[in-house]
Amino acid sequence: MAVASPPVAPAGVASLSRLRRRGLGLGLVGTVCAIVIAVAVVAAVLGPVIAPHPPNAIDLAQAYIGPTTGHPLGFDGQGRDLLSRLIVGARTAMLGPLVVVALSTVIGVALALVAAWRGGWADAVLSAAMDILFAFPGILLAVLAAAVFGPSLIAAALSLAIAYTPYVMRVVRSAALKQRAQPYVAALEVQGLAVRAICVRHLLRNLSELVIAEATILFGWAMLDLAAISFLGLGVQPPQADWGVMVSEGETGVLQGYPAEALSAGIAIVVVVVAFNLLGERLSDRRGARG
Amino acid sequence: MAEPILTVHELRKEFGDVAAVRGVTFELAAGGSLGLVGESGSGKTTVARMIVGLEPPTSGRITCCGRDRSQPGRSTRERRRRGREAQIVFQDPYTSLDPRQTVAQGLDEILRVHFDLPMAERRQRVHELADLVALDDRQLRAFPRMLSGGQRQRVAIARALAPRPKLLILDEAVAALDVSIQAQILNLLSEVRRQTQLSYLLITHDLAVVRQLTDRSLVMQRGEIVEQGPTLQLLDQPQHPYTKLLRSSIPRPGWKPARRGRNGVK
Amino acid sequence: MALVDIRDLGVRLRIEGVLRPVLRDVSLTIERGEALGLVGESGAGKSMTARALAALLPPGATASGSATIDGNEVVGGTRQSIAAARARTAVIFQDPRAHINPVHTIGDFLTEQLRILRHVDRRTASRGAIEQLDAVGIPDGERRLAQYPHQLSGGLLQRVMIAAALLAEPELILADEPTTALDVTTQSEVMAILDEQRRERGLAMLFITHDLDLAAAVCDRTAVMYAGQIVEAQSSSRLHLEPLHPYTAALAAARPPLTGAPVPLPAIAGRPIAAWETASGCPFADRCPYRLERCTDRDPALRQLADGDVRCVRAEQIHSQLEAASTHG
Repeated sequence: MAVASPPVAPAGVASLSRLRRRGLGLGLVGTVCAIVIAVAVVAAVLGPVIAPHPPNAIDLAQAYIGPTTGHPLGFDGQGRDLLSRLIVGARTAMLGPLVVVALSTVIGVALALVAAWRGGWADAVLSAAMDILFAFPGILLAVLAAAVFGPSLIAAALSLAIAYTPYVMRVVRSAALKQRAQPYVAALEVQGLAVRAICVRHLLRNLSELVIAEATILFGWAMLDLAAISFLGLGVQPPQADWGVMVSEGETGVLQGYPAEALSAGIAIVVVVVAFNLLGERLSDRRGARG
Repeated sequence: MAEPILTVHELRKEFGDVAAVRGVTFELAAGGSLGLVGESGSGKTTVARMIVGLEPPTSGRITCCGRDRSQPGRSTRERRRRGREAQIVFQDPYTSLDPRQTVAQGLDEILRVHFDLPMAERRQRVHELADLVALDDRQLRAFPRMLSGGQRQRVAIARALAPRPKLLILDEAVAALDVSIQAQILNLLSEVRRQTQLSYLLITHDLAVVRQLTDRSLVMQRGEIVEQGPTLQLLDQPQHPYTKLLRSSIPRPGWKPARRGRNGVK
Repeated sequence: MALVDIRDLGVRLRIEGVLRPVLRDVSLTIERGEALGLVGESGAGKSMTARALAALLPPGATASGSATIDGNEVVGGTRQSIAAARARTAVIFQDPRAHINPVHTIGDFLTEQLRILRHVDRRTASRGAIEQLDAVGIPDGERRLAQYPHQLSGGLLQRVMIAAALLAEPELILADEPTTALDVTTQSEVMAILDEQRRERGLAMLFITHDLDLAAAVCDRTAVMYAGQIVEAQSSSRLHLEPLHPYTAALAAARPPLTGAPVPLPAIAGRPIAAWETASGCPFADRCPYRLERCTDRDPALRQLADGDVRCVRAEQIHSQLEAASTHG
């Protein structure tokens, strides 16, 4: 029989000193990403309030004029202030992914817990259902939804949520299975705890780091997918300011030698998506390092 | 003789084609201590799991505290009630505690499941349990990862004792501990039994441990009981060839390993 | 010249970002053909000693001092000297399944080193493998060579590991808790095979275990480790009757006896600590029933006493008490 060796450090002392040395443990990259995301969130929440000019005020006389005083990014093809549109555009750009991630995470985690806990027949059916859903790329579902319900951000977000749910379910399911197999879960069963109490108070809390890390990464993907969907005209509809819409509308500007609109919106998308991805990976690594 | 605390009758467990437990029958007297000795594949852990309801028997009867538990409890209430009759301590101290709860939080949760006590009384009971297993205040406030293997096993024992069960099953509870810590825990278990009049079912491969803690023992091999009797007698005068082999395989002063002939391979 | 000569070996590991000692001035020798047992509990440093000797320290570890195998330096040695040391050493690990590639047959595993390093042809190598399998008590070698690791039980697989070790024709076997994960009856069988084959071939062995009696059964001498240091080294037979160090006596007494009526075990409070958890003075002082003031003043040195070595300033005084305390079971 194996003789287990105790963990090498008296973790109480060690984790305190580690906390002091590395702050939240995000590291330089993680902290920078968190700041970028925070800026985007502020823009999303306070957009209309902090935008220097009305984002939808059309003035064709100003079309495509480059940066001037009071308008650091210049104007778009319809004479609207680019910076204001960029700031206000953050709202739909962040809101859409938030809906996608929130829905897919809640549903995916719930299904994963059911599958992992009950195993057997329930697990087989749920896993098969997820496999079928996996076959549908999010954008395809969004096209379908747009065809049936008319193009809108909500339709696009809901379709993506459906497309992302199987991914969350699979990832959480395998971690949940590992937790389920641990003796502490058996001990709680023998104690007579209700299944729901074990799943929520114990399993879920031990999975929370994983779920947060995955949700963060998913947010980035959702943002990219939704921007593409809006670019195709199936999501947010003009004249609503949205980064994906701005890339689409900026297309004509690019062809005429005025890339500012498409470029600024494109860069905003890339920067925020990368920030989410890097932060998510950092959270994942930190979770992995903790074992 | 008083009603036995545990009766197991013709217990069987099959996993597909493989019969892990084949018709095991035994009794544990109230306040007694019974050893279930065997190596891997003997079925001893499967028997323990069936008794606490983690595994449904293929057939056979289990009676504990006068009530039938031949199949795992279905409702939460039934499982809770059975939790107040029999509890179990597992082998691995590193995975048998929820890493997200402090020791005190874990014990408190168990108390809340079983008893309707106001917070002050619960806290007192948590301290009583900690005293029983020699854990101090600092350890009560700690997370499992801050504790050593021996300390974690004390926590697991305290958790098992929280609902005041009549029967405690120890599934290789000291096998993963260092020798010097094992001695501490064995002493603790003897002392706890003396103080609480608990009955013990000790699952182990280690004949020395079974000698230390039990009055009677059964030896299992490949799912069946091959010998049983008072522990001291079983170890001093083993009858069955397997028991003799087990006895002679234990390293002790003056012992030398012996080959059983060049052909004994599976 | 001794086959293995370790002098003042120290190893530091990076634990949670901080460099901490896990071994401190470890010194021991193993003569050709001699078996030395290294006994200790968690954190004692016994596995780390073997890994240092096999030049298999984890990344980020730093080693100081010296360890030579047949004169070849392993600690901070050149690549050639490490290779030469390894050529004379075979390692048997605790978990055979973690050290055999599951997608290769047993035959591939056994013959690989012969075919690649010594350029032996496949048929000769297979014949050699079958011979070794027979020597470790696996008779139908032909059939076994074609099998995969998952088809063999733990005990059988460990015998295959022993066969592999013997095939390498080493002068030294490093056995790191080779039977800890096996059933006790299997352990007895496997140890008997290892012991017999080792003696037949006159191989030296460093045998690591937490079981004092097991070490005594197959090793000529036994060294006891605590908190990264050797605290006692003696001939195995005398270690049990006349332990020189209080920790050795405590370890022997902690094991529940196999005879007589059960009585409370003489267990000492506290837990075994690692090298970096020690304060100044004797690392065992906190838990030692014979402790005096002066035990915490200075680190005791390893010194000769009777026919062994001991790291205790009171060894002479408590000698008879230790002898009495350890005669049980």
